Amino acid sequence: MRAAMTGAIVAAVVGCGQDAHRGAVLAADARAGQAALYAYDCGVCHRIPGVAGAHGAVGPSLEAFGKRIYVAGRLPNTQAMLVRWIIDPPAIDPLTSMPAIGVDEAHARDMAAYLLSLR
Amino acid sequence: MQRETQSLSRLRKAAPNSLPRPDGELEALERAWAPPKGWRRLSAVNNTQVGLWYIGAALLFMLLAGLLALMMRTQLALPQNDLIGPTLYNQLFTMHGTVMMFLFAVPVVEAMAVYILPAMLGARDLPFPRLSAYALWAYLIGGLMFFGTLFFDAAPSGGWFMYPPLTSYEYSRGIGADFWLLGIGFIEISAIAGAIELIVGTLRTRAPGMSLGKMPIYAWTMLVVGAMIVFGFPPVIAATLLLEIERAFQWPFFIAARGGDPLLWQHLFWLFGHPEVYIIFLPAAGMISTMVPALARTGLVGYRWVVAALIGVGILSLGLWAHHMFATGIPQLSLNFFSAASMAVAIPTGMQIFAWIATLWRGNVQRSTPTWFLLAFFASFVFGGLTGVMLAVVPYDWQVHDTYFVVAHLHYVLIGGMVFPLFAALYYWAPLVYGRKLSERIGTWACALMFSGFTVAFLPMHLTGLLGMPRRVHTYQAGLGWDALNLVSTLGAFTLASGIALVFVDLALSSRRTRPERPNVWHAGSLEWLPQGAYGVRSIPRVEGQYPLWDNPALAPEVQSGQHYLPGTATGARETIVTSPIDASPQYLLLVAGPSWLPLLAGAGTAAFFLFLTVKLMLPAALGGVIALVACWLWLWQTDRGPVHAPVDIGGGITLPVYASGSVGHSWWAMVVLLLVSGTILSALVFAFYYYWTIAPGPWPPAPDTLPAWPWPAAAALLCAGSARLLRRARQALDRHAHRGLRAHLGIAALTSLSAWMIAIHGQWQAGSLATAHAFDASVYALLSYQGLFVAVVLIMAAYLLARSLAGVLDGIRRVSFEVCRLFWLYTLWQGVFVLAVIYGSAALAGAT
Amino acid sequence: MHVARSLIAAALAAGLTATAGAAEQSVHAPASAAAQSIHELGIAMYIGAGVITLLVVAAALVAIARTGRPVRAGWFVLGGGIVLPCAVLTLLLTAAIMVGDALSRTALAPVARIEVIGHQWWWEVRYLPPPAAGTELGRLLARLCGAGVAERARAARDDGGAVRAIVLANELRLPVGYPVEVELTTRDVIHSFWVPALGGKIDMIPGRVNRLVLHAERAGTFRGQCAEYCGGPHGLMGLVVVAHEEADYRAWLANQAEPARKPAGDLRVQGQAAFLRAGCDECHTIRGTSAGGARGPDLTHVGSRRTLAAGTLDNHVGTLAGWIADPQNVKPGNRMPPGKGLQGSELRALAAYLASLE
Repeated sequence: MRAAMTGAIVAAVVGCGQDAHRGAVLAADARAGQAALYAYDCGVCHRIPGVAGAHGAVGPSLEAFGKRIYVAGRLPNTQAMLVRWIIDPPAIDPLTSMPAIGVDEAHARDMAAYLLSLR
Repeated sequence: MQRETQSLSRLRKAAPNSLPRPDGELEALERAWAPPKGWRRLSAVNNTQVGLWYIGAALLFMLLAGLLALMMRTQLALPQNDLIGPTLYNQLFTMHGTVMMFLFAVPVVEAMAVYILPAMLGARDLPFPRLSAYALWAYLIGGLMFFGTLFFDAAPSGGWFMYPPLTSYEYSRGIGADFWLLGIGFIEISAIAGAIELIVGTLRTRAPGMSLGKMPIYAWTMLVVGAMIVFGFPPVIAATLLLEIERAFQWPFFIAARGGDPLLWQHLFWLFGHPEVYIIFLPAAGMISTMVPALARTGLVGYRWVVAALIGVGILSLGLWAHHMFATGIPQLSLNFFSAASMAVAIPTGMQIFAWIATLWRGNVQRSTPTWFLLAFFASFVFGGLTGVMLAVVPYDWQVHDTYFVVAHLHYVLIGGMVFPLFAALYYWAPLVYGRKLSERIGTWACALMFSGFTVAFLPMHLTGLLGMPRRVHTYQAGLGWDALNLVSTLGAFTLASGIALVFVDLALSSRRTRPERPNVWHAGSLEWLPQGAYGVRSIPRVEGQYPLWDNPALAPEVQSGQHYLPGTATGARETIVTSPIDASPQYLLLVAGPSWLPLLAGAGTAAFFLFLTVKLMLPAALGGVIALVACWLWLWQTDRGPVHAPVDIGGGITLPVYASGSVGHSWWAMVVLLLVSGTILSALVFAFYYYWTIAPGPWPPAPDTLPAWPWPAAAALLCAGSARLLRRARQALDRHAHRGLRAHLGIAALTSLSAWMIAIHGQWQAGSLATAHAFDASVYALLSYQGLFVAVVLIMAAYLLARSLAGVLDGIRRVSFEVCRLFWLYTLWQGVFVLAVIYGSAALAGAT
Repeated sequence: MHVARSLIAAALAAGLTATAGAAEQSVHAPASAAAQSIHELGIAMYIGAGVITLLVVAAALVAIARTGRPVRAGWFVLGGGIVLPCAVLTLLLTAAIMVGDALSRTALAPVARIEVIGHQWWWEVRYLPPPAAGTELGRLLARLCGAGVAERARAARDDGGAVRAIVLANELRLPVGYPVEVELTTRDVIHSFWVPALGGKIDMIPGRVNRLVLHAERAGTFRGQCAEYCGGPHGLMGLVVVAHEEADYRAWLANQAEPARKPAGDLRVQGQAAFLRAGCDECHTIRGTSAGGARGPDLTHVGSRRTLAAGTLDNHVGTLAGWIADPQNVKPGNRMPPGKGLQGSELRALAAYLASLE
């Protein structure tokens, strides 16, 4: 429910509907991702350039994330893998502290696009 | 106007002194006033030298506090920014407010007066030049150390208003709050020293003929401001004393659980805090009232109304402190009273504004940098005043109190009402220092940058506040509508800063091209534009109107050639004329103190004493205290010189003595002002004592069995009366030149005064009253301790008088030291009786009912 | 004339809200009669202040620009300085006193009483039995908030005692259309309670009880914030007020009065164990469990709250985990220690458990 609400907020913030995210498999909007990273409060745990208040130190800093070779030290850092990780981290690493916070796939794609653009 | 002036000058009496002047007269005057050279220059005490250092120091603190503001604005430029954390941010805003108010605004207005006022009054110097030097050094050294706490993470962080319990020992464990309380405590002392100087200077050293009705408005302003400092600063001195004692010894003045009340602090603080705003604004208004007629080349419209308005603001300002407390839940009826009183301030302020506009309307205005700064003043101050009226509307204040709306308002009033006029004044009076105007081109640019930066920074802040952003927050959430507004404000702040920087560039460039002469560049009518040397004017003019230079166009050459009063030095020392307070008729010749290291030493010692005390380094603190005491002793020892010269002919058939004792003397006046300050501090403490009565939930006094039986206070009071009687005997002995009798009576009187106090405090203690137990006990001990402080000073004074008598420099004629000490001593004794009556009389009455 | 004034007022208000974007904390987005009257007073004053400033500046400009002419001192100084301000101020003062008196008169019997206690840097919110249970809602509240001091003490003794109480943190819920009295006190330093949409602020002062009546006239979420500097992260002491229609409000009340839900599923059970093992119960209460700490917020229904850390974070499982792991980074200086010593999976489980306490 909360995720749906957050989704609505993101849509409002970015000013474009859900339709923009459909289409090609990996079509994504980095700017929408930037807003989504803010709306889902990812900054509580991560330092993310360009996202207000994102100076968390619980998880790794996401500065220059585009240069990273692996996601969470396990998955190759591709957009598809990153999307999988964002949606459900414990499914990939049962020991991780990062919870699945209910990000839907479209938002996850946008987030991944933004993160991969950080160099 | 012009025609009137000419006809007047044709009827004019001849100047008091004739030409030619004797050979060597000017040279002797120059020798007497020659400033010390090289590194000895630091020992200078002359107002033109000390005044400049004072202004420089105040501007330095403005720059430092301004840098803190820029750091805050950088942090707030973006939402949820983590550049500066709350710990540092809280220190920054506390220091910004404190330094701007205590180390910039009040000192700079006093500094300007120290520099300008004597020249404007036709005096050669202030009556107590060493006191101004002392005030400067204590302030500069202490202020720099206080600012330095920022670099050691030891700066206070309780806000400039220091509300307990946040600032009491339980919630502020560090020494930051102590730095604030002790540091500000002695800066208040420095401000009061300045006020005494200005009051006595204005009332007693005016040029002959300059009656109150002909006194420049600026002098009127500084007189009112001096009085406001005398009555406005004591509550905060009392409050800082109480809070520091609470922090150090756990006396619960502000701790609700032990009968105290945090709101008492707010009452005392704002009893000071609101007059403080006018203490800052009125001198600026006085400068405007001086600049506007000069720039418009016509006399001030409504001189009497403006004087009435000044006094009106002064009185009103003491009665509206609670408008800072509308949201504390105090009763509705008192809210309405304070609301009305706060709005009423708009009336005298409005009168001044319209008097200025009328003056501009009547004259042909010179278009120059000061004019532009005055325009900036009109635009911003009027708006700031009106948002102030909005804040006086109680329900509206409930919404916007402690939001950025108030931040915007107070910067409109303080920057608009004080900084813009101050910069106008810097450009206006700079020729007195540099011999030429500052750069018109740079000045115009600076004014444009400052005004636009100010507007961009602070106009949007009203909106930020209305959208709900509170003050004193180190960061804020994104998406509440505040983001863009804050970014804009930050840009404006940097623009404002660049404008200020430009002014300093201008000052620096001009200081390399100084000219010796001081042309009357604005064709102004007031005396500071007369040709002057280190000695001030060559001869002290006879004043016949509000604008002497306009009234008598020949005045400048007459004064410069020595045709007016006291065209040289009669005694070979520094001198100025003391005149009567109302009609300014000459009374005696004041021998002005010359250069000395003692004020610097005393100032440094005082600063060291307070600051080492804060960090609990007792030995260095004691050393500082001793240095200060010894320096003051030596300094005073040199003052009471007696009739060292036969009466002097100052011209115009007037012969003046060079020594005056009794109530005509300037030292006597200074002591009276000091006692007014002391009495006001006492009333603040008495206010606190009764305040606890009004808030007491149960019976009052809370524990009557811990009060002494009546013989204790009665004995103490009797001893006080006896001591006063002995003091009278001492004076009679002095009249008879009976030195032994004088010493004996002084000695016994001192012992009696001390024992009165010891009996009083012992009585309280033996009854089982503990200062840490309850706010009532704490307030009793506070009153008794305050009395103890005075008794300690009395003991030092007694020792000083005995020493003078033994040294043969105290007798029936050379007796000013005795009279001044006696005044203080008598005050102390009656204060003792009063304190006893208040404590034990009220307790008995309350117990009886 | 009147039409013109209301048009200007509407335009100004629109301007204010448009600049605002989200105006959750705006003085000019009133949701109560009190806030509405201050809003209107404000608009009138902005117009007055703007006009007077423009006139004075224009007069100064003209005076500087043109050549001098004789003036009548009385006309300027007395007319501009005394007559004009007296007239304007008398009007304003009358309006101010009328609005002020209307706001401070709390004639309506409040249907609910809420105790709000200020702490550095959060708000403890306790629903008290209403002063008069005249309405049906009042009777419901009287039944649900029966937990007086004695009952609270007993509940603390008998762990897991299913005493009914409604205790929140950093969040108030109000019924639309009913006046609610708020009793304001503090546990430490001075704070100030302020929800602009519902009216003015009032301080919370040691040794005193201040009262405020909130009367929401439309459903919605309103943000408030501590308005008296209280040290440390004073800027992160936010507050959410949610006004519900009566039916929703009753449902919400009934749920809040219940003890905490039992954890369902392995992850949440593991989370509850982690809660106790990490010592969270030292400071936090979860009614219906053994956790009875009183230093920090009551977490019985933490999952139903809108925000965490006093309005600092949206409340969801991710922010819960991040807040528990590193509260000092989110809100530097606050009293919550970092959750060191928790395994990554334990942190996740703990967050999941707390999120489930709706």
